[in-house]
Amino acid sequence: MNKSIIIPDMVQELLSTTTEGLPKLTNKLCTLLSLPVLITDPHYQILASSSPSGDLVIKTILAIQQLEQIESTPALKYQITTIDSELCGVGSPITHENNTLGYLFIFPKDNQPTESYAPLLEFAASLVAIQLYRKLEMRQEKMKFKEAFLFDLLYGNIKQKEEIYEYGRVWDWDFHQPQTSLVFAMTDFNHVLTDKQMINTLLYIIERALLDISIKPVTMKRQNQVIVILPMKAEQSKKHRADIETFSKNVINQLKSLYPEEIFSCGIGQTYESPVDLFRSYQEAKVALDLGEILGIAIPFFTDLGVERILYKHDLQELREYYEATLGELVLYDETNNVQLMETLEGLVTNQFDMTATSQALFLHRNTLRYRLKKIEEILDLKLDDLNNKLNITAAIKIKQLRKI
Amino acid sequence: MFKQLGYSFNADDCIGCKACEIACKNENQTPAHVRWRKVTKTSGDFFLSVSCNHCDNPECFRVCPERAFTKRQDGIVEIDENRCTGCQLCVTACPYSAPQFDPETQKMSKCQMCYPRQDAGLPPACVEACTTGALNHVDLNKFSDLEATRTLPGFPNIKITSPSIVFYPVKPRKRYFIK
Repeated sequence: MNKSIIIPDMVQELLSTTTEGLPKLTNKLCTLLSLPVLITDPHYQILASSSPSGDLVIKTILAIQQLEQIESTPALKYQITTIDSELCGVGSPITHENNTLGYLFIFPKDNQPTESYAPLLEFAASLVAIQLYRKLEMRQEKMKFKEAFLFDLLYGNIKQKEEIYEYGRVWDWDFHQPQTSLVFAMTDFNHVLTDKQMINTLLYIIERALLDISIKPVTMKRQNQVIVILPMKAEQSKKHRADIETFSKNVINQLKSLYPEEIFSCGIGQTYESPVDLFRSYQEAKVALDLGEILGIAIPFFTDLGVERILYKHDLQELREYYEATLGELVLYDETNNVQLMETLEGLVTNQFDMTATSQALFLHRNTLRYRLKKIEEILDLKLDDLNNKLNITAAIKIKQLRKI
Repeated sequence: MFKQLGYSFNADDCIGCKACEIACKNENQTPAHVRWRKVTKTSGDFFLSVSCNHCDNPECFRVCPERAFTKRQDGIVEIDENRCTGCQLCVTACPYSAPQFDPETQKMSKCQMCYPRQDAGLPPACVEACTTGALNHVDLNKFSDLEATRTLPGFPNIKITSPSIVFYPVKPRKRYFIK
Protein backbone atom coordinates (compact mmCIF):
# COMPACT_ATOMS: atom_id res chain seq x y z
CA MET A 1 0.00 0.00 0.00
CA ASN A 2 2.92 2.27 -0.57
CA LYS A 3 1.47 3.54 -3.77
CA SER A 4 1.12 7.36 -3.84
CA ILE A 5 -2.12 8.83 -5.16
CA ILE A 6 -1.61 10.95 -8.22
CA ILE A 7 -3.74 14.02 -8.77
CA PRO A 8 -3.36 15.29 -12.33
CA ASP A 9 -2.01 18.85 -12.66
CA MET A 10 -5.00 19.77 -14.76
CA VAL A 11 -7.37 19.02 -11.87
CA GLN A 12 -5.19 20.98 -9.47
CA GLU A 13 -5.10 23.99 -11.78
CA LEU A 14 -8.84 23.93 -12.35
CA LEU A 15 -9.52 23.63 -8.63
CA SER A 16 -7.35 26.63 -7.88
CA THR A 17 -9.53 28.86 -10.07
CA THR A 18 -12.88 27.76 -8.58
CA THR A 19 -12.86 30.54 -6.02
CA GLU A 20 -12.17 33.20 -8.64
CA GLY A 21 -15.50 33.14 -10.44
CA LEU A 22 -17.05 31.70 -13.55
CA PRO A 23 -15.11 33.68 -16.23
CA LYS A 24 -11.73 32.69 -14.72
CA LEU A 25 -12.73 29.04 -14.58
CA THR A 26 -13.89 29.17 -18.20
CA ASN A 27 -10.60 30.77 -19.27
CA LYS A 28 -8.55 28.20 -17.38
CA LEU A 29 -10.43 25.27 -18.92
CA CYS A 30 -10.01 26.87 -22.32
CA THR A 31 -6.24 27.29 -21.89
CA LEU A 32 -5.77 23.77 -20.56
CA LEU A 33 -7.68 22.17 -23.42
CA SER A 34 -6.82 24.77 -26.08
CA LEU A 35 -10.46 24.55 -27.12
CA PRO A 36 -13.37 27.03 -27.04
CA VAL A 37 -15.49 26.69 -23.87
CA LEU A 38 -19.04 27.84 -23.28
CA ILE A 39 -21.20 27.88 -20.15
CA THR A 40 -24.94 28.50 -20.33
CA ASP A 41 -27.84 28.56 -17.87
CA PRO A 42 -30.62 25.91 -18.09
CA HIS A 43 -32.35 27.99 -20.81
CA TYR A 44 -29.16 28.12 -22.94
CA GLN A 45 -28.50 31.78 -22.13
CA ILE A 46 -24.74 32.35 -22.21
CA LEU A 47 -23.14 32.87 -18.80
CA ALA A 48 -19.46 32.74 -19.84
CA SER A 49 -17.46 31.83 -22.92
CA SER A 50 -13.79 31.66 -23.81
CA SER A 51 -11.75 30.83 -26.87
CA PRO A 52 -7.99 30.07 -27.12
CA SER A 53 -7.38 32.48 -29.96
CA GLY A 54 -10.09 34.88 -28.89
CA ASP A 55 -11.77 34.71 -32.31
CA LEU A 56 -14.56 32.26 -31.56
CA VAL A 57 -16.38 34.08 -28.78
CA ILE A 58 -20.03 33.05 -29.01
CA LYS A 59 -22.37 35.93 -28.27
CA THR A 60 -25.81 34.57 -29.05
CA ILE A 61 -27.13 31.07 -29.57
CA LEU A 62 -29.93 30.69 -32.09
CA ALA A 63 -30.60 26.98 -31.63
CA ILE A 64 -29.20 23.95 -29.85
CA GLN A 65 -29.79 20.41 -31.03
CA GLN A 66 -28.96 17.36 -28.91
CA LEU A 67 -27.20 14.56 -30.77
CA GLU A 68 -26.15 11.17 -29.35
CA GLN A 69 -24.97 10.52 -25.78
CA ILE A 70 -21.35 9.61 -25.14
CA GLU A 71 -21.15 6.14 -23.62
CA SER A 72 -21.10 5.76 -19.83
CA THR A 73 -21.01 9.51 -19.21
CA PRO A 74 -23.71 12.12 -18.83
CA ALA A 75 -22.05 14.10 -21.65
CA LEU A 76 -23.83 14.52 -24.98
CA LYS A 77 -22.91 15.66 -28.43
CA TYR A 78 -24.57 18.91 -29.50
CA GLN A 79 -24.99 20.97 -32.60
CA ILE A 80 -25.08 24.68 -31.79
CA THR A 81 -26.27 27.25 -34.31
CA THR A 82 -25.04 30.79 -33.81
CA ILE A 83 -25.62 33.88 -35.96
CA ASP A 84 -22.66 33.18 -38.26
CA SER A 85 -21.75 29.51 -37.84
CA GLU A 86 -22.78 26.01 -36.92
CA LEU A 87 -20.64 24.30 -34.28
CA CYS A 88 -20.39 20.69 -33.17
CA GLY A 89 -19.49 20.27 -29.52
CA VAL A 90 -19.63 18.13 -26.45
CA GLY A 91 -21.79 19.27 -23.59
CA SER A 92 -22.32 18.18 -20.05
CA PRO A 93 -25.21 19.22 -17.83
CA ILE A 94 -24.24 21.13 -14.70
CA THR A 95 -26.33 19.60 -11.94
CA HIS A 96 -26.75 20.02 -8.23
CA GLU A 97 -29.05 17.72 -6.24
CA ASN A 98 -30.88 16.64 -9.41
CA ASN A 99 -31.46 20.24 -10.47
CA THR A 100 -29.95 21.35 -13.76
CA LEU A 101 -28.22 24.65 -13.16
CA GLY A 102 -26.84 24.96 -16.68
CA TYR A 103 -24.66 23.37 -19.38
CA LEU A 104 -20.94 23.30 -20.09
CA PHE A 105 -19.83 22.94 -23.72
CA ILE A 106 -16.46 22.45 -25.38
CA PHE A 107 -15.82 22.43 -29.10
CA PRO A 108 -13.16 19.85 -30.17
CA LYS A 109 -11.60 20.14 -33.61
CA ASP A 110 -13.06 17.94 -36.38
CA ASN A 111 -10.40 15.21 -36.23
CA GLN A 112 -10.29 14.92 -32.43
CA PRO A 113 -12.18 12.06 -30.68
CA THR A 114 -14.86 13.66 -28.51
CA GLU A 115 -15.08 10.70 -26.08
CA SER A 116 -11.74 11.44 -24.45
CA TYR A 117 -12.98 14.80 -23.21
CA ALA A 118 -16.01 13.40 -21.43
CA PRO A 119 -14.43 12.67 -17.98
CA LEU A 120 -12.74 16.06 -17.78
CA LEU A 121 -15.94 17.72 -18.90
CA GLU A 122 -17.84 15.96 -16.15
CA PHE A 123 -15.28 17.08 -13.56
CA ALA A 124 -15.30 20.69 -14.80
CA ALA A 125 -19.12 20.65 -14.77
CA SER A 126 -19.10 19.71 -11.10
CA LEU A 127 -16.75 22.64 -10.39
CA VAL A 128 -19.05 24.99 -12.29
CA ALA A 129 -22.00 23.54 -10.36
CA ILE A 130 -20.37 24.71 -7.11
CA GLN A 131 -20.01 28.20 -8.58
CA LEU A 132 -23.56 28.36 -9.92
CA TYR A 133 -25.06 26.97 -6.75
CA ARG A 134 -23.20 29.57 -4.71
CA LYS A 135 -24.56 32.26 -7.04
CA LEU A 136 -28.09 30.91 -6.69
CA GLU A 137 -27.79 30.88 -2.92
CA MET A 138 -26.50 34.41 -2.96
CA ARG A 139 -29.41 35.54 -5.16
CA GLN A 140 -31.90 33.96 -2.78
CA GLU A 141 -30.18 35.67 0.14
CA LYS A 142 -30.24 38.99 -1.74
CA MET A 143 -33.97 38.67 -2.41
CA LYS A 144 -34.55 38.48 1.32
CA PHE A 145 -32.85 41.84 1.81
CA LYS A 146 -34.22 43.51 -1.32
CA GLU A 147 -37.47 44.63 0.27
CA ALA A 148 -35.71 45.79 3.42
CA PHE A 149 -33.29 47.85 1.34
CA LEU A 150 -36.03 49.39 -0.78
CA PHE A 151 -38.04 50.20 2.36
CA ASP A 152 -35.03 51.97 3.87
CA LEU A 153 -34.37 53.76 0.59
CA LEU A 154 -37.98 54.94 0.21
CA TYR A 155 -38.25 56.08 3.80
CA GLY A 156 -34.90 57.88 3.79
CA ASN A 157 -33.38 55.60 6.41
CA ILE A 158 -30.06 55.45 4.56
CA LYS A 159 -28.44 58.85 4.89
CA GLN A 160 -25.20 58.26 2.92
CA LYS A 161 -25.40 57.99 -0.86
CA GLU A 162 -22.24 55.87 -1.03
CA GLU A 163 -24.03 53.31 1.10
CA ILE A 164 -26.96 53.31 -1.37
CA TYR A 165 -24.60 52.90 -4.36
CA GLU A 166 -22.96 49.98 -2.57
CA TYR A 167 -26.26 48.26 -1.78
CA GLY A 168 -27.54 48.95 -5.30
CA ARG A 169 -24.59 47.08 -6.76
CA VAL A 170 -25.78 43.92 -5.00
CA TRP A 171 -28.82 43.86 -7.30
CA ASP A 172 -27.06 45.55 -10.23
CA TRP A 173 -29.01 48.77 -9.76
CA ASP A 174 -27.27 51.97 -10.70
CA PHE A 175 -28.29 54.82 -8.45
CA HIS A 176 -25.80 57.25 -9.94
CA GLN A 177 -28.43 58.43 -12.41
CA PRO A 178 -31.25 60.77 -11.32
CA GLN A 179 -34.28 58.76 -10.19
CA THR A 180 -38.04 59.27 -10.08
CA SER A 181 -40.57 57.48 -7.90
CA LEU A 182 -43.86 56.26 -9.29
CA VAL A 183 -46.65 54.82 -7.20
CA PHE A 184 -49.44 52.67 -8.60
CA ALA A 185 -52.29 51.87 -6.27
CA MET A 186 -55.59 50.14 -6.12
CA THR A 187 -58.40 52.06 -4.44
CA ASP A 188 -60.72 50.18 -2.07
CA PHE A 189 -58.07 47.63 -1.19
CA ASN A 190 -58.94 44.95 1.32
CA HIS A 191 -56.63 42.44 2.92
CA VAL A 192 -58.38 39.63 1.10
CA LEU A 193 -56.61 37.13 -1.05
CA THR A 194 -58.12 38.27 -4.36
CA ASP A 195 -56.98 41.84 -3.80
CA LYS A 196 -53.50 40.66 -2.90
CA GLN A 197 -53.41 38.63 -6.11
CA MET A 198 -54.43 41.75 -8.00
CA ILE A 199 -51.47 43.61 -6.54
CA ASN A 200 -49.23 40.73 -7.60
CA THR A 201 -50.61 41.05 -11.14
CA LEU A 202 -50.01 44.78 -10.99
CA LEU A 203 -46.39 44.13 -10.01
CA TYR A 204 -46.01 41.60 -12.83
CA ILE A 205 -47.48 44.00 -15.42
CA ILE A 206 -45.20 46.80 -14.26
CA GLU A 207 -42.07 44.64 -14.32
CA ARG A 208 -42.91 43.34 -17.77
CA ALA A 209 -43.58 46.86 -19.06
CA LEU A 210 -40.23 47.98 -17.65
CA LEU A 211 -38.39 45.11 -19.28
CA ASP A 212 -40.10 45.95 -22.57
CA ILE A 213 -38.47 49.37 -22.49
CA SER A 214 -35.13 47.79 -21.42
CA ILE A 215 -35.15 49.10 -17.86
CA LYS A 216 -34.11 46.89 -15.00
CA PRO A 217 -37.13 46.89 -12.66
CA VAL A 218 -36.63 48.41 -9.22
CA THR A 219 -40.02 47.72 -7.73
CA MET A 220 -41.61 47.10 -4.38
CA LYS A 221 -45.00 45.91 -3.29
CA ARG A 222 -46.49 47.60 -0.25
CA GLN A 223 -50.08 46.84 0.78
CA ASN A 224 -52.25 48.35 -1.99
CA GLN A 225 -49.32 49.97 -3.77
CA VAL A 226 -46.57 49.06 -6.15
CA ILE A 227 -43.67 51.49 -6.07
CA VAL A 228 -41.40 51.88 -9.09
CA ILE A 229 -38.06 53.66 -9.12
CA LEU A 230 -37.33 54.85 -12.62
CA PRO A 231 -33.84 56.02 -13.64
CA MET A 232 -33.45 59.02 -15.93
CA LYS A 233 -30.86 58.38 -18.56
CA ALA A 234 -28.61 61.40 -19.15
CA GLU A 235 -29.38 61.54 -22.87
CA GLN A 236 -33.12 61.35 -22.25
CA SER A 237 -33.63 64.16 -19.77
CA LYS A 238 -36.03 66.02 -22.06
CA LYS A 239 -37.96 62.90 -22.99
CA HIS A 240 -38.09 61.58 -19.44
CA ARG A 241 -41.46 63.11 -18.57
CA ALA A 242 -43.11 61.91 -21.76
CA ASP A 243 -41.62 58.44 -21.21
CA ILE A 244 -43.03 58.26 -17.70
CA GLU A 245 -46.43 59.37 -18.95
CA THR A 246 -46.50 56.76 -21.70
CA PHE A 247 -45.31 54.05 -19.31
CA SER A 248 -47.93 54.94 -16.67
CA LYS A 249 -50.73 55.12 -19.25
CA ASN A 250 -49.70 51.76 -20.63
CA VAL A 251 -49.77 50.12 -17.17
CA ILE A 252 -53.10 51.70 -16.19
CA ASN A 253 -54.68 50.70 -19.52
CA GLN A 254 -53.50 47.10 -19.15
CA LEU A 255 -54.96 46.99 -15.65
CA LYS A 256 -58.24 48.51 -16.77
CA SER A 257 -58.65 45.87 -19.45
CA LEU A 258 -57.81 43.08 -16.96
CA TYR A 259 -59.96 44.33 -14.08
CA PRO A 260 -62.62 46.65 -15.55
CA GLU A 261 -64.55 46.86 -12.27
CA GLU A 262 -61.57 48.01 -10.17
CA ILE A 263 -60.08 51.49 -9.96
CA PHE A 264 -56.34 51.89 -10.25
CA SER A 265 -54.51 55.18 -9.96
CA CYS A 266 -50.97 56.44 -10.05
CA GLY A 267 -48.84 59.31 -8.83
CA ILE A 268 -45.46 60.58 -9.92
CA GLY A 269 -42.93 62.36 -7.74
CA GLN A 270 -40.14 64.71 -8.76
CA THR A 271 -36.83 63.53 -10.19
CA TYR A 272 -33.94 63.76 -7.73
CA GLU A 273 -30.24 63.68 -8.53
CA SER A 274 -29.20 62.03 -5.31
CA PRO A 275 -30.65 58.70 -4.15
CA VAL A 276 -30.76 59.96 -0.55
CA ASP A 277 -33.58 62.28 -1.64
CA LEU A 278 -35.56 59.49 -3.25
CA PHE A 279 -37.81 59.29 -0.19
CA ARG A 280 -39.06 62.79 -1.03
CA SER A 281 -39.95 61.63 -4.53
CA TYR A 282 -41.85 58.70 -3.01
CA GLN A 283 -43.78 60.91 -0.60
CA GLU A 284 -44.54 63.35 -3.43
CA ALA A 285 -45.76 60.51 -5.61
CA LYS A 286 -48.20 59.51 -2.87
CA VAL A 287 -49.42 63.10 -2.50
CA ALA A 288 -49.87 63.29 -6.30
CA LEU A 289 -51.74 59.97 -6.21
CA ASP A 290 -54.18 61.16 -3.56
CA LEU A 291 -54.74 64.58 -5.11
CA GLY A 292 -55.02 63.05 -8.57
CA GLU A 293 -57.85 60.84 -7.31
CA ILE A 294 -59.67 63.82 -5.80
CA LEU A 295 -59.15 66.15 -8.75
CA GLY A 296 -59.72 63.47 -11.38
CA ILE A 297 -56.29 63.67 -13.00
CA ALA A 298 -55.39 60.42 -14.78
CA ILE A 299 -51.58 60.68 -14.62
CA PRO A 300 -50.81 63.22 -11.89
CA PHE A 301 -47.29 64.62 -11.65
CA PHE A 302 -46.43 66.26 -8.33
CA THR A 303 -44.76 69.12 -10.19
CA ASP A 304 -48.00 69.88 -12.06
CA LEU A 305 -50.20 70.18 -9.00
CA GLY A 306 -49.70 73.93 -8.65
CA VAL A 307 -51.59 75.77 -5.97
CA GLU A 308 -53.24 72.56 -4.76
CA ARG A 309 -49.87 71.60 -3.30
CA ILE A 310 -50.19 74.45 -0.80
CA LEU A 311 -53.92 74.21 -0.27
CA TYR A 312 -54.15 70.53 0.60
CA LYS A 313 -52.11 70.86 3.76
CA HIS A 314 -53.21 74.31 4.81
CA ASP A 315 -55.11 74.83 8.03
CA LEU A 316 -58.71 73.74 7.48
CA GLN A 317 -60.29 76.52 9.53
CA GLU A 318 -58.36 79.17 7.66
CA LEU A 319 -59.36 77.63 4.31
CA ARG A 320 -63.00 77.60 5.38
CA GLU A 321 -62.82 81.24 6.38
CA TYR A 322 -61.19 82.15 3.08
CA TYR A 323 -63.82 80.25 1.10
CA GLU A 324 -66.59 81.85 3.13
CA ALA A 325 -65.16 85.33 2.60
CA THR A 326 -64.69 84.83 -1.14
CA LEU A 327 -67.77 82.86 -2.20
CA GLY A 328 -69.96 82.74 0.90
CA GLU A 329 -72.44 85.29 -0.40
CA LEU A 330 -72.95 83.36 -3.61
CA VAL A 331 -73.53 80.05 -1.79
CA LEU A 332 -76.08 81.76 0.41
CA TYR A 333 -77.84 83.34 -2.57
CA ASP A 334 -78.01 79.95 -4.30
CA GLU A 335 -79.55 78.36 -1.22
CA THR A 336 -82.15 81.06 -0.56
CA ASN A 337 -83.20 81.55 -4.18
CA ASN A 338 -82.87 77.94 -5.29
CA VAL A 339 -80.54 78.73 -8.22
CA GLN A 340 -77.18 77.30 -9.33
CA LEU A 341 -74.99 80.34 -9.89
CA MET A 342 -72.11 78.57 -8.14
CA GLU A 343 -72.22 75.88 -10.82
CA THR A 344 -71.96 78.57 -13.51
CA LEU A 345 -68.99 80.14 -11.76
CA GLU A 346 -67.27 76.74 -11.43
CA GLY A 347 -67.82 76.18 -15.15
CA LEU A 348 -66.29 79.55 -15.90
CA VAL A 349 -63.22 78.75 -13.78
CA THR A 350 -62.84 75.30 -15.35
CA ASN A 351 -62.90 76.94 -18.78
CA GLN A 352 -60.34 79.52 -17.74
CA PHE A 353 -62.79 82.46 -17.73
CA ASP A 354 -63.45 82.03 -21.45
CA MET A 355 -67.05 83.02 -22.20
CA THR A 356 -67.40 81.06 -25.45
CA ALA A 357 -65.93 77.83 -24.04
CA THR A 358 -68.04 78.11 -20.86
CA SER A 359 -71.30 78.71 -22.70
CA GLN A 360 -70.59 75.68 -24.90
CA ALA A 361 -69.62 73.49 -21.96
CA LEU A 362 -72.64 74.47 -19.88
CA PHE A 363 -75.05 74.41 -22.86
CA LEU A 364 -75.98 78.03 -22.18
CA HIS A 365 -76.67 80.85 -24.56
CA ARG A 366 -73.90 83.43 -24.47
CA ASN A 367 -76.30 86.13 -23.32
CA THR A 368 -77.72 83.95 -20.54
CA LEU A 369 -74.17 83.34 -19.34
CA ARG A 370 -73.45 87.05 -19.56
CA TYR A 371 -76.56 87.78 -17.50
CA ARG A 372 -75.62 85.20 -14.87
CA LEU A 373 -72.08 86.49 -14.58
CA LYS A 374 -73.39 90.00 -14.13
CA LYS A 375 -75.64 88.68 -11.36
CA ILE A 376 -72.63 86.93 -9.74
CA GLU A 377 -70.66 90.18 -9.92
CA GLU A 378 -73.53 91.98 -8.18
CA ILE A 379 -73.83 89.37 -5.43
CA LEU A 380 -70.10 89.14 -4.76
CA ASP A 381 -69.63 92.87 -5.30
CA LEU A 382 -66.57 92.46 -7.48
CA LYS A 383 -65.51 92.57 -11.12
CA LEU A 384 -64.84 89.22 -12.76
CA ASP A 385 -62.37 90.65 -15.25
CA ASP A 386 -59.99 91.77 -12.52
CA LEU A 387 -57.02 89.38 -12.43
CA ASN A 388 -56.78 89.43 -8.63
CA ASN A 389 -60.46 88.54 -8.29
CA LYS A 390 -60.04 85.75 -10.82
CA LEU A 391 -57.15 84.39 -8.76
CA ASN A 392 -59.12 84.53 -5.51
CA ILE A 393 -62.15 82.80 -7.03
CA THR A 394 -59.99 80.10 -8.64
CA ALA A 395 -58.28 79.39 -5.30
CA ALA A 396 -61.64 79.22 -3.50
CA ILE A 397 -63.03 76.80 -6.07
CA LYS A 398 -59.90 74.67 -5.83
CA ILE A 399 -60.42 74.50 -2.06
CA LYS A 400 -63.93 73.22 -2.72
CA GLN A 401 -62.63 70.67 -5.25
CA LEU A 402 -60.10 69.40 -2.72
CA ARG A 403 -63.10 68.53 -0.56
CA LYS A 404 -61.84 70.77 2.17
CA ILE A 405 -65.26 72.40 2.48
CA MET B 1 -42.15 41.00 7.49
CA PHE B 2 -42.85 44.72 7.75
CA LYS B 3 -45.26 45.96 10.37
CA GLN B 4 -47.22 49.16 10.56
CA LEU B 5 -47.63 49.74 14.25
CA GLY B 6 -50.33 52.18 15.18
CA TYR B 7 -52.90 53.02 17.82
CA SER B 8 -56.50 52.05 18.19
CA PHE B 9 -58.68 54.46 20.15
CA ASN B 10 -62.11 53.79 21.52
CA ALA B 11 -63.88 57.13 21.88
CA ASP B 12 -66.63 55.56 23.99
CA ASP B 13 -64.22 54.32 26.62
CA CYS B 14 -62.06 57.43 27.00
CA ILE B 15 -63.02 59.42 30.11
CA GLY B 16 -60.40 62.14 29.59
CA CYS B 17 -58.38 61.24 32.71
CA LYS B 18 -55.11 62.16 30.92
CA ALA B 19 -53.34 59.13 32.41
CA CYS B 20 -51.84 58.49 28.95
CA GLU B 21 -50.49 62.01 28.76
CA ILE B 22 -48.91 61.80 32.20
CA ALA B 23 -47.49 58.32 31.57
CA CYS B 24 -45.92 59.60 28.34
CA LYS B 25 -44.32 62.51 30.19
CA ASN B 26 -43.11 60.24 32.94
CA GLU B 27 -41.67 57.65 30.59
CA ASN B 28 -39.95 60.04 28.22
CA GLN B 29 -39.12 62.79 30.71
CA THR B 30 -40.24 65.51 28.30
CA PRO B 31 -40.11 69.16 29.47
CA ALA B 32 -43.25 70.79 30.83
CA HIS B 33 -44.18 72.58 27.60
CA VAL B 34 -43.54 69.60 25.31
CA ARG B 35 -46.62 67.42 24.98
CA TRP B 36 -46.08 64.35 22.82
CA ARG B 37 -49.57 63.13 23.65
CA LYS B 38 -52.53 65.41 24.09
CA VAL B 39 -56.01 64.69 25.37
CA THR B 40 -58.62 67.12 24.11
CA LYS B 41 -62.38 67.36 24.30
CA THR B 42 -64.03 67.59 20.91
CA SER B 43 -67.15 69.47 19.98
CA GLY B 44 -68.86 66.11 19.67
CA ASP B 45 -68.63 65.81 23.47
CA PHE B 46 -66.10 63.01 23.59
CA PHE B 47 -62.38 62.96 24.23
CA LEU B 48 -59.55 62.40 21.78
CA SER B 49 -56.09 61.29 22.83
CA VAL B 50 -53.70 62.12 20.00
CA SER B 51 -49.94 61.79 19.60
CA CYS B 52 -47.80 61.24 16.53
CA ASN B 53 -49.71 58.81 14.34
CA HIS B 54 -46.62 57.33 12.67
CA CYS B 55 -48.30 57.94 9.33
CA ASP B 56 -47.89 55.76 6.30
CA ASN B 57 -47.18 58.93 4.29
CA PRO B 58 -45.55 61.16 6.87
CA GLU B 59 -45.60 64.76 5.66
CA CYS B 60 -43.08 65.83 8.34
CA PHE B 61 -40.75 63.46 6.64
CA ARG B 62 -41.14 64.91 3.16
CA VAL B 63 -40.63 68.54 4.13
CA CYS B 64 -37.65 68.08 6.47
CA PRO B 65 -34.63 69.69 4.75
CA GLU B 66 -32.20 67.85 7.04
CA ARG B 67 -33.63 64.38 6.39
CA ALA B 68 -33.90 64.02 10.15
CA PHE B 69 -36.87 61.63 10.06
CA THR B 70 -36.70 57.90 9.57
CA LYS B 71 -39.33 55.21 9.50
CA ARG B 72 -38.45 51.95 11.16
CA GLN B 73 -39.49 48.69 9.57
CA ASP B 74 -42.16 48.32 12.22
CA GLY B 75 -43.68 51.62 11.02
CA ILE B 76 -42.50 53.86 13.88
CA VAL B 77 -41.47 57.33 12.65
CA GLU B 78 -38.47 58.64 14.53
CA ILE B 79 -36.67 61.95 14.54
CA ASP B 80 -32.91 62.16 14.82
CA GLU B 81 -32.36 65.14 17.11
CA ASN B 82 -28.73 65.39 16.06
CA ARG B 83 -29.82 66.19 12.52
CA CYS B 84 -32.67 68.52 13.51
CA THR B 85 -31.94 72.23 13.20
CA GLY B 86 -35.26 73.32 14.72
CA CYS B 87 -36.57 74.95 11.53
CA GLN B 88 -40.11 73.82 12.47
CA LEU B 89 -41.17 73.03 8.91
CA CYS B 90 -42.48 69.70 10.16
CA VAL B 91 -44.78 71.51 12.61
CA THR B 92 -46.61 73.24 9.79
CA ALA B 93 -46.68 70.10 7.66
CA CYS B 94 -48.11 67.76 10.30
CA PRO B 95 -51.93 67.97 10.52
CA TYR B 96 -51.84 66.43 14.01
CA SER B 97 -49.28 68.86 15.53
CA ALA B 98 -47.20 65.87 16.56
CA PRO B 99 -43.67 67.32 16.31
CA GLN B 100 -43.10 69.52 19.36
CA PHE B 101 -40.57 72.32 19.51
CA ASP B 102 -38.45 72.57 22.60
CA PRO B 103 -37.30 76.19 22.99
CA GLU B 104 -34.56 75.13 25.40
CA THR B 105 -32.80 72.71 23.06
CA GLN B 106 -34.05 74.51 19.91
CA LYS B 107 -34.93 71.14 18.43
CA MET B 108 -38.00 69.14 17.58
CA SER B 109 -39.07 66.02 19.40
CA LYS B 110 -42.02 63.71 19.05
CA CYS B 111 -43.62 60.48 20.17
CA GLN B 112 -41.50 57.48 19.25
CA MET B 113 -44.15 55.01 20.36
CA CYS B 114 -41.89 53.99 23.26
CA TYR B 115 -39.84 51.82 20.93
CA PRO B 116 -37.31 50.91 23.64
CA ARG B 117 -40.24 49.49 25.60
CA GLN B 118 -41.69 47.83 22.51
CA ASP B 119 -38.32 46.31 21.67
CA ALA B 120 -38.35 44.83 25.17
CA GLY B 121 -41.82 43.39 24.53
CA LEU B 122 -43.73 45.97 26.58
CA PRO B 123 -46.63 48.11 25.32
CA PRO B 124 -46.11 51.89 24.97
CA ALA B 125 -46.40 53.74 28.30
CA CYS B 126 -49.63 55.53 27.26
CA VAL B 127 -51.29 52.25 26.31
CA GLU B 128 -50.25 50.60 29.56
CA ALA B 129 -51.45 53.56 31.61
CA CYS B 130 -54.87 53.88 29.97
CA THR B 131 -57.29 53.31 32.84
CA THR B 132 -60.25 52.22 30.72
CA GLY B 133 -58.40 50.37 27.97
CA ALA B 134 -59.53 52.93 25.38
CA LEU B 135 -56.06 53.23 23.91
CA ASN B 136 -54.34 50.23 22.39
CA HIS B 137 -51.54 49.52 19.97
CA VAL B 138 -52.08 47.36 16.89
CA ASP B 139 -50.27 46.20 13.75
CA LEU B 140 -52.33 47.82 11.00
CA ASN B 141 -50.95 45.46 8.37
CA LYS B 142 -52.91 42.71 10.08
CA PHE B 143 -55.68 44.70 11.73
CA SER B 144 -59.18 44.23 10.44
CA ASP B 145 -62.34 45.13 12.31
CA LEU B 146 -65.56 46.18 10.67
CA GLU B 147 -66.53 48.35 13.63
CA ALA B 148 -63.36 50.41 13.43
CA THR B 149 -63.21 53.63 11.41
CA ARG B 150 -60.33 55.60 9.96
CA THR B 151 -61.40 58.94 11.43
CA LEU B 152 -63.75 60.66 13.87
CA PRO B 153 -65.41 64.06 13.75
CA GLY B 154 -62.96 66.52 15.27
CA PHE B 155 -59.89 64.56 14.14
CA PRO B 156 -57.78 66.38 11.49
CA ASN B 157 -58.05 65.43 7.82
CA ILE B 158 -56.50 62.02 7.25
CA LYS B 159 -56.19 62.40 3.47
CA ILE B 160 -52.61 62.35 2.16
CA THR B 161 -50.91 61.40 5.44
CA SER B 162 -52.81 58.16 6.10
CA PRO B 163 -52.25 58.08 9.89
CA SER B 164 -51.67 54.78 11.66
CA ILE B 165 -54.62 55.07 13.98
CA VAL B 166 -58.05 53.49 13.97
CA PHE B 167 -61.05 54.59 15.96
CA TYR B 168 -64.08 53.05 17.54
CA PRO B 169 -66.76 55.75 17.35
CA VAL B 170 -69.17 56.67 20.12
CA LYS B 171 -72.19 54.40 20.05
CA PRO B 172 -75.66 55.81 20.74
CA ARG B 173 -76.47 55.35 24.41
CA LYS B 174 -79.21 52.95 25.36
CA ARG B 175 -81.78 54.24 27.81
CA TYR B 176 -83.43 51.51 29.79
CA PHE B 177 -85.68 53.46 32.11
CA ILE B 178 -86.74 56.58 30.27
CA LYS B 179 -89.00 55.86 27.35
